[in-house]
Amino acid sequence: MKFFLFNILLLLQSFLFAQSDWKRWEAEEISYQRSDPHRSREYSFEFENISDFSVKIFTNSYWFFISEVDGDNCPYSPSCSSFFIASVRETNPAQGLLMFFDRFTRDFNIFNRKSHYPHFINGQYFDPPSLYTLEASKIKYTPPVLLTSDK
Amino acid sequence: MKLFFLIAIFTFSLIFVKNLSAQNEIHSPKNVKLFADYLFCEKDYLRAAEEYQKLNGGSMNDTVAYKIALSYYSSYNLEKAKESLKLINKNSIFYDESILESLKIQYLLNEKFNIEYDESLIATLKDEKIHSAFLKLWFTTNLRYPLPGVIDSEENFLDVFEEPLKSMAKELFYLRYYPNYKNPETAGILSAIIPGAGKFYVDEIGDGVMALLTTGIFVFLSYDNFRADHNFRGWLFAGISSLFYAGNIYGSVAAAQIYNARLDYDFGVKLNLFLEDNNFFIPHINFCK
Repeated sequence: MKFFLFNILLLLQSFLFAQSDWKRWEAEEISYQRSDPHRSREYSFEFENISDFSVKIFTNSYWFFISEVDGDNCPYSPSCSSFFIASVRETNPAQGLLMFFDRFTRDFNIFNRKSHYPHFINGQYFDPPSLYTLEASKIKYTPPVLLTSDK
Repeated sequence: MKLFFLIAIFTFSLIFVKNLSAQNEIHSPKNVKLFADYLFCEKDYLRAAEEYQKLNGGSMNDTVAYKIALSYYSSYNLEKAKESLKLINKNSIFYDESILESLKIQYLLNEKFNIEYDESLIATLKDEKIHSAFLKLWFTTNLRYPLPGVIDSEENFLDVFEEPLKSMAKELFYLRYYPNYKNPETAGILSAIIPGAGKFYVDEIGDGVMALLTTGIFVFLSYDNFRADHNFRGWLFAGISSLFYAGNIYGSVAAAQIYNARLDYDFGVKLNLFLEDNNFFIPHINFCK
């Protein structure tokens, strides 16, 4: 009797958890493509004040004429356009523009970057606007080491 | 049968009572301390601190309080270590060490020192070695967080160090009081005279060359277009070159500030290494012989 019950339970289990016809086991489709930051760019001209508007014009022009043509090649994090937006937010449009042109000049320099900037595992160099606001108290110096972050 | 039953009950109750008392004995203060000492010597500091804290009343003494502080310090819980050190009073044999440990922890917590350096504190430090260690630690930590009147001169600072340490102490003193800072204004003026010169001044040679090239190229493009009567393009390139020029002056000032911040950072790293290499000048007490 026990043997009979054991077999029934075993059979029942295999019926319950068997692969069904209406739900096949399939390989999951995984995308190995990298996300494209170009597609997520917000080109709209929504603004709250005239300063935002001028920043938006400058940023959109930079994306259109430089970033889109160059591709995802900015060696820095934040990228030059993000750096400009963050600089303007942290200071003012005039100072932000100067910070951007300084960053743009540094972008041309391909020598000794690794010994100068802290970098992420993806090779991008960490260069935040807070270092360039001319307020000594805001400067949090980071040595040129590999940063452990999810970047 | 009755007799057998009674004997069995008696035997079982004896075993039960014995087990109960054995259980109590396991958690006796003496055993807790032994276990905590074992954990301490095995460098399992966090659990050692927890076990030591189970002791109270007569079992808690200054040795245990000092070991709790050391355990918390070793498991990077500086706040709790600081609290434990407060339990050690002036009559304790660990009082001198506790002063040194407190100073070390305040330094590591980046706190403003609240230990007043005066004759009365010196008088409380009984041991000559501890006195010398305190002076070393006090003067070195004052390099980082200076209190007025502590370090008057180079001689006054270096006098407390003996020879193998003296050269490093001297280097640290010079890094602190005579740092090779770059003047941000000078960097800006240099870049205004020759684009990129301010970057050269702060050792950013590559950035300086690039600043000179970009400004130069756009100035040339502007000049060339004006000469060819392409006024719009002439003004366009003139505008871009002036932005690069102004950006470079700004960037040179910022680069000088970053250079100075780097010097401060390097000084901090060297100072920490000096203190850590010398165990903050605190004599090591071997509790695990």
